[in-house]
Amino acid sequence: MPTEPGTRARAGETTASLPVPEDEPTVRMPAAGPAAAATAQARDGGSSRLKNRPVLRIEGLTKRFGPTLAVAGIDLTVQPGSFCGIVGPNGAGKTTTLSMITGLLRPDTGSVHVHGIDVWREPERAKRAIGVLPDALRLFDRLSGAQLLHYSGVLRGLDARTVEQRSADLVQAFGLEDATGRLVADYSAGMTKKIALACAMIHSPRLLVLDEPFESVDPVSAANIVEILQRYVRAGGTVVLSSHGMDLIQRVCDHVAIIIGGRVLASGTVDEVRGGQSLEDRFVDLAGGRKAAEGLEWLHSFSD
Amino acid sequence: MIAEFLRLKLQLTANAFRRSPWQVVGIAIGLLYGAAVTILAVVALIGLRFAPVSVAGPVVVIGGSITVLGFLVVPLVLGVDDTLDPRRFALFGLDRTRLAVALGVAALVSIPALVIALVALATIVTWSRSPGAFLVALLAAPLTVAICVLVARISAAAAGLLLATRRSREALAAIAVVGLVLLSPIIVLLSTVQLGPSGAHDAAVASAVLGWTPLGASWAAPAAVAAGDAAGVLQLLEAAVTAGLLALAWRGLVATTLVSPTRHGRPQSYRGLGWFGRLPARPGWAIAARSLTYWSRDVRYRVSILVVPITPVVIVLVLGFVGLPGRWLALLPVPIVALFLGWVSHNDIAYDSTAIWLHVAAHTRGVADRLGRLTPVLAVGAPLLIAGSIVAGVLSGDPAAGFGELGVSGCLFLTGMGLGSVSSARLPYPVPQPGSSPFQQPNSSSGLTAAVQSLTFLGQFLPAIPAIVFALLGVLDGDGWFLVSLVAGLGIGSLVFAIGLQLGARVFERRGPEILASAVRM
Repeated sequence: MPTEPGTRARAGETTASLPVPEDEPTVRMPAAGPAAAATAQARDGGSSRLKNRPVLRIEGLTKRFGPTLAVAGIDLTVQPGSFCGIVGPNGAGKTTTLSMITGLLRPDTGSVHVHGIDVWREPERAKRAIGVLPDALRLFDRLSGAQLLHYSGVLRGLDARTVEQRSADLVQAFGLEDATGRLVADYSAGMTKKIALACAMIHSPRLLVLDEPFESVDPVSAANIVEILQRYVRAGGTVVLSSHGMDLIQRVCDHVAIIIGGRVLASGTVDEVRGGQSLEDRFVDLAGGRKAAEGLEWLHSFSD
Repeated sequence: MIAEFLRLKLQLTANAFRRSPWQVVGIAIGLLYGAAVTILAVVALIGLRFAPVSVAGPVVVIGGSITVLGFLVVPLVLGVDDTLDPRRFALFGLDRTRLAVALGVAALVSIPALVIALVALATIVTWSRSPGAFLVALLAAPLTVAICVLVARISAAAAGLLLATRRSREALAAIAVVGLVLLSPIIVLLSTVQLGPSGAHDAAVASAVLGWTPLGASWAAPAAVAAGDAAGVLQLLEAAVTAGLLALAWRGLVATTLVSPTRHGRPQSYRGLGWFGRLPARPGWAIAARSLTYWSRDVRYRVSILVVPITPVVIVLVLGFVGLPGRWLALLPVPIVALFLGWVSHNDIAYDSTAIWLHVAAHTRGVADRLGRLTPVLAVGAPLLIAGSIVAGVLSGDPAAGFGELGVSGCLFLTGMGLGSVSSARLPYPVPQPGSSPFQQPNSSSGLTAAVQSLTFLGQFLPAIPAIVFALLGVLDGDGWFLVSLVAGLGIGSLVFAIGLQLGARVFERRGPEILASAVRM
């Protein structure tokens, strides 16, 4: 497990023993076949070829819902250890794309490779490397927070002791100590987001795919989550997240992709994409510019 | 404003037909059913015009009182459509009285209101025996309609106000189920009431009492006048006062509802991991622990499991009254329980709603998922059926019959779980969403629901036919057949169970994303 030299002391106190991505999958595969060879090489410190292998490669992804083409051919490559933001207006196809990456929604055409494994050909192997935070899907909310964490960990193949230890760490890191005994159905929206995020991380995946992780989360908790994610990325993990917070993405992410109308209109490092402007201005330009706020004059003469 | 609300209600009613063809078929069947009931009631009431007052009076008053009671209770239990819940208009800043009037008038545009209006009109025919009775009936009919509609609106709004929290809704649902259990023997007793002279006397007494209650006053007034009793005028007055008080109550309730925010219950706290801590930390066992937890915590499961003991009790009572010998009666309940227990899991995945994504994202093994979900049913069912078969054999007077009993019920149980493994993965159909009332019909119920339910239910019988035949031979021809039934039943049942489990597991693994997609659509 790669450890980071000079961990900041304060952060170390609260998040020191968080699960960080391991160089081998948590659930060991049979020690034969190309996968075993790949993990063996990765354990050796990795040849430069392997180090440069993208952790996520999307090619020609499309998805049609009835008459609407929700995703119209998306190509995207994400290198290991990057913090990649995906932005786009409402209905641009972000959630659809993220669902196809995580194996939750079958694409019409195209392929998704995670760490070299085709998600839709070998879902069992690929899904071990992915941690998922979906948006607008329910949780098993009649379980208490502690039970939900345990359930997520065990379903991911962890043993009882590991689950217990990691649950305790995650609960502390996300500040959910007082809430573990309550049913998730009784959580506030922000707490639900945090427990779901904890569940997504419990099997120390190589890639975290987070759909709107900061939605309805208070600023203090958001800063805390950002710090957890940044430590994860510094340790070699990869985060792909979608958000509407342009400032946050510009500040936190090193890579960004702008998706509009089911296509990637710009992608690269944040500095490349924004090209001297703020990310928000660049995004608004690509999305067709600001709508001139005319024609609402009656709104300025109040009717009472 | 009243015209606006009427138009809104008409539009909402019309929109019910702009759904999928299957739903329109469902609505059409409902309408036909309502029309049939209405025509029956109207024809009966017109026919009563030619019956003596001493017969027509009690029939109308008792039937009418039960109808008003229905308008009071049904919205409480079923939570009827609240498209015109006063709370939805809270932000428009409308005058309370006018809003109450508009909502009350709009409530007239609904199928139950239409039915009660036609029935009330028919009572005018029933009582057109003398000018006085006709006049009183003419005045009483609109009061009847007003009372029924207002009672329904008040009970729906009161339910919304009092039962706003998840926990109180669940409590009410549980109470309703227990009430149903308690009601079933009463219904059986009622069906045995002799329709002789003493029955007619009982009915006359009941109608005399009901006629002075708010439930029956508007129905009793014309009957009393037709019988030459001036007290009918007082009853008419009582009905008018009742309607007036209900209108005031409705206005007050609208005013209260507008300023009452949705309430939240106090969360309960649980310690430790519960079943998760007691069962091994393997995916299949974790799913079993989750299912066990949900069976005890989620009221939707509790309702479906409570139906299991009710049905055999009702069937045995009814058949007992019909006169089936006790020996056969003793052998009936256990196979019926087995049938329902096996069937209970046939739509299990749908109850997870979209939370099933966790299983898809973790690529859970199909066998682990299928077996885990069946654990609560197996844990309850297996010992229950074994013990039940022994008891049933002893009660029937031939302990050896217990083997045949176990053969039949074991086969039904195992077959049901095997079929359910496949159908819950391949054909999930919409169920009430987590946290909503278990009696709430899902928005998009369709022909699929009925098809899957009847196919899985009837499908359980086919493999059990040999065991049933051998068990019958045992009763008729000698005890040796009971053992044959046991072997055949458990053998065939296990085979269907194993095949169903494997098939269901494969379907689950292959169609994970499609199962999730159908959950999203529901």
